[in-house]
Amino acid sequence: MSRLIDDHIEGLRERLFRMGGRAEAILDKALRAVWERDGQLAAEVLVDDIEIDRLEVAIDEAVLKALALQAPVAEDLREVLAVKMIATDLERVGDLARNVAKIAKRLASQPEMPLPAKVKTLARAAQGALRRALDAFARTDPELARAVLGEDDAIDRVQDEVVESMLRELGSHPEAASQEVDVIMLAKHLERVGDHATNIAEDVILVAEARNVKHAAKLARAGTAR
Amino acid sequence: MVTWTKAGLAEPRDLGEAPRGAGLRAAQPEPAGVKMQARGVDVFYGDKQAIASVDLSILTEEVTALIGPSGCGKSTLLRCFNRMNDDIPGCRVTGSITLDGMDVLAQGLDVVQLRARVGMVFQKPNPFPKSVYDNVAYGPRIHGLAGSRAELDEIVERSLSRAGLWGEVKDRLREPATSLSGGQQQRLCIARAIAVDPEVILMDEPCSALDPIATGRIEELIYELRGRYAIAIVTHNMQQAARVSQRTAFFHLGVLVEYGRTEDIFTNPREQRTSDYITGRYG
Amino acid sequence: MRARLVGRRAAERRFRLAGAAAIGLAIASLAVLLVSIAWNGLSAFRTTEIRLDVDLAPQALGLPDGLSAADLPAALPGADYRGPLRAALEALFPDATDRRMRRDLSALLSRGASEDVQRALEKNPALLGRRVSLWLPADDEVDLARKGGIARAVPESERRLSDDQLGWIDALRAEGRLRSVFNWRFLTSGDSREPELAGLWGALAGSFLTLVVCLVIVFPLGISAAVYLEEFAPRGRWTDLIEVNINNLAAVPSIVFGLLGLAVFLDVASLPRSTPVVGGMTLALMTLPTIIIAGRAAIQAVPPSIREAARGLGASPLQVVTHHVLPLALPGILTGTIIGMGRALGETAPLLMIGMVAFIVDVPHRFTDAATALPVQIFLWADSPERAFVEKTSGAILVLLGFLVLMNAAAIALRRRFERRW
Repeated sequence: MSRLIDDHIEGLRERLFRMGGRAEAILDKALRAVWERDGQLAAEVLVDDIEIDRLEVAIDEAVLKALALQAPVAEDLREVLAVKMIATDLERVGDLARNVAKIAKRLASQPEMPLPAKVKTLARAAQGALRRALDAFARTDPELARAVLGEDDAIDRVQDEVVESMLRELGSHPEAASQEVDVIMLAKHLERVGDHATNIAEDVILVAEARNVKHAAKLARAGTAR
Repeated sequence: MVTWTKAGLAEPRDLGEAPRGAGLRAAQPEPAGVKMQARGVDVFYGDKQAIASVDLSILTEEVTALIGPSGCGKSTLLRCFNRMNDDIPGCRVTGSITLDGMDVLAQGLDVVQLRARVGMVFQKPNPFPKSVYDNVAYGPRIHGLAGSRAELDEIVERSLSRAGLWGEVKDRLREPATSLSGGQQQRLCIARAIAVDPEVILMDEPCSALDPIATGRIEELIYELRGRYAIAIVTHNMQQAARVSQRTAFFHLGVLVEYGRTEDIFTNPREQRTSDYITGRYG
Repeated sequence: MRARLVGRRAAERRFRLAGAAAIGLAIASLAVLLVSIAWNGLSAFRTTEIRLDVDLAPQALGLPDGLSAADLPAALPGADYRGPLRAALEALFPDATDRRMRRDLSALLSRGASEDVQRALEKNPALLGRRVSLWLPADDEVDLARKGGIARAVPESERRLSDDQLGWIDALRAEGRLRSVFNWRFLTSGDSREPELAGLWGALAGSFLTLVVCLVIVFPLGISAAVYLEEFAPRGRWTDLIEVNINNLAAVPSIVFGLLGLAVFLDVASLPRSTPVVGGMTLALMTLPTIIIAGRAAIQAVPPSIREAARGLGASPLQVVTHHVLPLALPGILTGTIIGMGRALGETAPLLMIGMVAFIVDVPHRFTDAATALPVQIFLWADSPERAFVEKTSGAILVLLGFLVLMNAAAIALRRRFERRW
């Protein structure tokens, strides 16, 4: 039986999928700009990001409307809230993609420097986590969401390795300092993408199981875990 | 007196074609989308003023909700649109109400024809003590809308289907309407109103006498029907107005306080009184 | 606190006892009334017959010789039946020799016995010339004697029946020639001076015709007035005035309507007096307020939501009334009408005023025939000097009560049948 609120929720999900697709696309484009040292591609990303911001505003309005007009409860309410939270994360991913694009522009205008292989690994891991988190939301699949949560540590580790290796490079090749610093920033941005994917996965578990698993490890250590 | 044939009922009159009959102004067409327009409407019961200077539109393909505390005049205003207040002795309506630009409050207007275009559903389900079939067929019969028994059967089936009731009653058409449940009876009343093919449906608190499940079904029905009819609904349940309508008018003590799109009224009302009422601070 | 509870219980008990006592008193009074009427009246339904062996020779009947079968029916009404009957009686009691005794003897038989013989011959002409044994109606005094109404201890001069007559009656009874049968005549024949021949049929027909006239006038008028007052009349001083007047008219003594009927229908309009037409019109005047009031109550009982629904669909005020209000109000209206008719059936005073009090023997067939009505018949019989009319009066009262009970039962049955739930 179709309910009045179903229209609203369908609209929200549809907008969110569009936003997710967009975020993945521009992140991919920005990274390609880095690998291929393509300044043109980088410039396009800066324009594409505006679309993501528009979508976030639209989702904000739609969420407000759904809450005011339909007063959802239970799973409907969690889903509406989750859409808002995931939209926020996706907007940040968009900003991160813009930052990556700026890095790509700078790297493109400077002499080519070989990038450590781990950087590409990190990028693939972060992009993978994001895609799987969005899939988990699309299917409301808590298993897949938990798998994404499990990848977060690995991403952090690879990021640490990249940073350490770049710091060593900074010591031995100071003439390429600005590029090396850019690579460090790139690694940090990619790790942030992984964090956002984790947030998205946590929101999926909230919708599916009504359980808030954010900061679980930290809270458990501090003795206030649920 | 203007006589309207059924064929002419659905067509608005052209600009400039002054109709015969006393007291009827030439029709001025309303802006696109406006089906009925009230301008400066006052309603008096004897010396007591119940409604003051209301401007309100009922739009096609939209549900317009009238909300407000008890006794604020929303039902009274609704009943002006199909001149049901004529039956109340001592009730006086001034101002202008138009249907497709045609003045509805004119003295010489044939109220019977008006009510074939503007239907009404009441608070307490009030089916006639006849069979389900005869209830739905009554309107078409008195307005001569069916030329044959087969046509009448078709009208009855179509109306019951649009009201979401056909599946439940198609084997019980000859049974008394009073044997249906409350929610079914109200859907029957809606089917009965639809059967005369109106352009506007006025609903006066249609769900107040029903349980939540029946209420939910009727709300969905209203939402579906808006594509075909211009609907105005009076409700004392704000959440219902929020769920079901596209435009909302808030009344207080006979005055229209605020009128706008429902999503605006419920996310950011302009008037303090509206905000107080909606957030429950009123009273 | 406890005292208050006891006091309250005591008050309730007293109240209940008072109520029971009131009902008991009412029932007792009703019982006394019914029992006394039944006591007097039930015997009216039985009458006495005497079996005589009658010689139906044509000469004895005074018929010409050689009468053909075709001519017989015309000749029978003029035949002499008293002769053969007297002969039959004298054959039984040969010791009745002088004129007085022979007159007393033939007085045992009712005058109607002659008609019975005539009818027997008309039915079976083959009886002519034969000696037949017939059961014939006895005189009302004989009937009374059989019912024990003649006090034998009283001296002869103060009795209606002489010693001889009593002796003959006993003898007839001993020979098995006296029997008591159901008095069909009571219900099937018109009024008569002879109590044993008097019947209610004329009064019943007269009442029926009168009520038909009354109903035909009162039903359409009453309903139309009720519908108009309830649905169409504008609320205001005039309508209130009319309502007050109708309520008052319902309480006006019925004889006033009789006077009105006398003045208007008989004096001014010169309609034939003592006819069902005038009687019906007068009763219609009397019953109209009741019907209007009952009609209005029935119409008011129709829920306004039905009217609103119909108006909302575009039904005109007339359609609302004919399609919805009247069908739903009909049970109440019918009940009110039947009760009104029941009252009209029993009203005497207005009919007396318009002259339906004459002694009518013929049974009325047309609305313009002179007629009497059942309650008036009771009034006439009650006035009659003959003792036998006492039981007839009570018997007629029983018939009237029977009809009233029937009509009320019909009203209740109709209401149950048509009642709809909404």
